[in-house]
Amino acid sequence: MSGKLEEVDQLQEAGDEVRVRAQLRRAFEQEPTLPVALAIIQRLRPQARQHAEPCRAWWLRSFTVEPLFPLLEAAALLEGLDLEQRTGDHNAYAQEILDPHGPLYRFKPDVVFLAVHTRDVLPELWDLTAGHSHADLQGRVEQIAADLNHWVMLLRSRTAASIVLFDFLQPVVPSDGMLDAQSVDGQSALIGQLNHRLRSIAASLEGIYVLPLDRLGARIGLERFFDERKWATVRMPFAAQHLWAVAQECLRVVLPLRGKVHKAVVVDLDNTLWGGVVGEDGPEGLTLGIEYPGLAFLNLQRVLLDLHRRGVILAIASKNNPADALEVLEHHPAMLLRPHHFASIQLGWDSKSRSLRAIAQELNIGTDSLVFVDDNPVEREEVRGELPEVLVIELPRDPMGFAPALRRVASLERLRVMAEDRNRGRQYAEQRARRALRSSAGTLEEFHRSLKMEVTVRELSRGEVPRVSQLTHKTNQFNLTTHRYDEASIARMLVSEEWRVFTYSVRDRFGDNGLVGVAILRRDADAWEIDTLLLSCRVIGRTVETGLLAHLVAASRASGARVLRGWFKPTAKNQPAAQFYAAHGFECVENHDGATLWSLELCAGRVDWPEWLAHPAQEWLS
Amino acid sequence: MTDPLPDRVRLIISRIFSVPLADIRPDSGYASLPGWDSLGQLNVILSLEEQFGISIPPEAGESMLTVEAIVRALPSLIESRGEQYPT
Repeated sequence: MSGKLEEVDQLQEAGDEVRVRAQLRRAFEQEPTLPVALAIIQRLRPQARQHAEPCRAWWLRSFTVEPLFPLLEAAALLEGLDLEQRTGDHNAYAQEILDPHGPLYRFKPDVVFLAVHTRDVLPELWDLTAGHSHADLQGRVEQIAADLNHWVMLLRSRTAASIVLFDFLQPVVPSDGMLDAQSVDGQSALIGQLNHRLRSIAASLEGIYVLPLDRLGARIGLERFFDERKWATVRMPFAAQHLWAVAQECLRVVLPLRGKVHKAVVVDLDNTLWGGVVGEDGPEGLTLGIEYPGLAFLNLQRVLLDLHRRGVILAIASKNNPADALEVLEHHPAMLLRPHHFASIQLGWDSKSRSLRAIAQELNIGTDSLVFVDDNPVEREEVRGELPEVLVIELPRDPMGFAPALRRVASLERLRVMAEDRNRGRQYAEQRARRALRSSAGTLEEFHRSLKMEVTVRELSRGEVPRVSQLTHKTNQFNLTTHRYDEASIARMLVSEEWRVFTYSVRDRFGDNGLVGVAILRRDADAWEIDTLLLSCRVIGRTVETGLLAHLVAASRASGARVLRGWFKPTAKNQPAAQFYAAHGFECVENHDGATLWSLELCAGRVDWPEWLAHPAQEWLS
Repeated sequence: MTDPLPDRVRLIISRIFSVPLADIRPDSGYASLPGWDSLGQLNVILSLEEQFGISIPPEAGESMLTVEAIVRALPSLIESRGEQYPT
């Protein structure tokens, strides 16, 4: 006997990497266990360099975390992340942070986890038998919070890595039993205080995140989550049955941190967003509302609305007469979601895979950014067959399970929500209006003029760090080098003499697109090198790109540079930008494995600012 | 869940140690499979606990060092899984 997993070996021999990953992903979804994880690693590890982006993680810990590693590594590889993990000794985290030449810093991590158990850091609070007074314990909590703050600040100052702090677990039953709940400074309250302090520490600087282990324990049930015998024998607090839940919680932080996220969720309508078939049952015959069984569908709408609020794009792919479906979307009294929540609505009789392609095209994103939610296993199979790169959610047969299934998707997590994310739904509606104008305007130049675009250029400020990092992760098409930077790395550039970062915000007669462009320059003697130049797909093809380059030429010249140069590094997605430097008079001076280096002598060359782009501050153009 | 116990154990061991299923014999174990060291043994125990919904006390785990020994030990562990206390 052999499992489904072993079947992929034939696909692998045929060299079909996308399908291999899709199949392995499915095997892992069905059986997220250590043996399957190890088998996946064995199959994907050899090609990891070609298909996955490296990420180095160091674990500072007080307990055994090693059994999590294969689960994390396999799941990360399936999402295109090559996770290399190392750990320090048990309870040596303080020394490791303090030693500037120690293995932690030599490893040059991209992510540092700090996983400390309450019973290790504050044994007298975990077990009250030592008989400390509440005042003593309160003092100890303050002391530990101050220590943690010191360690995290030190870590922040010594590494650009993202820092992930596990919060502190509560015991299954407080020592004082029911008395604990009657007290404002009892055991539970004090552990809660410590966790509150941890969140304040994380919120005070860029690139620090909290992993809510305590919340996870509550979700699972601490009685089942803990395994006291494992603790006593191998210093691992959780039961084998819940390792995957802990690993998943880690992925919910690591995937968005490294930009491995899905951008859009595409939903079916009949028997997914509501119960029943509108074409047959009519709007009145549908099952949807706060009572059972309509609640199952309402709950799925709640999850979708939550995703919408955090900036995930929603779209519809449904086989329906448009009039029937729109009637429900616009007027059904129990609907939480309305047409304006959806950036693209595909109604008709096309196959789902064709609808998904149309949605991706309309939204200007890749099909690999799509998550597909459909109650019908036949439609799911069709999409898996035609578009293996789409993440297809395996919904249970019982609709009550739909909402929880979607909530579990780690790649729909976000660690920050910015104004740009909240406004995304509205911006797609504006985009539709722009397209309508473009088809009515005559020449392209008339179209550009009629948009009345205004570009605001700013030198990077602290508040913009998260958005800039987000754009380096999300922008694939107009992105000349596709260098990905986490928040901590961008924050470092802010205070470095060597780097200059510019941000570009664009508004036009239809609305404000927000911060959509980033340029990162590195000083190199009498030259400036464009390390990163990117523009969100929302505004590409409207000559804003040329404006950005014109600004960089002017800014470099003003700072006394002789040469401005930049690499173009080809990826599967940035072909639209391949001729960008050539089209603006740069000369190709180096070619290295397909990457090309372009250069412009600033005394001779020039790039003109498109006259139809308004710019509120223009001193840098003179 | 209908797989006979020995086959399930062989599949688990084959995946953990990246050895083809056909090469897993009853006496394959700690002494013969590369990678089956103390961390390998922890992975074996955790995987068995997870797959069979059991908790393996160290006194039982210490002797579960070959496929054969695991297959011998599992039935009584599975039978007693209802008796375990929450911590």
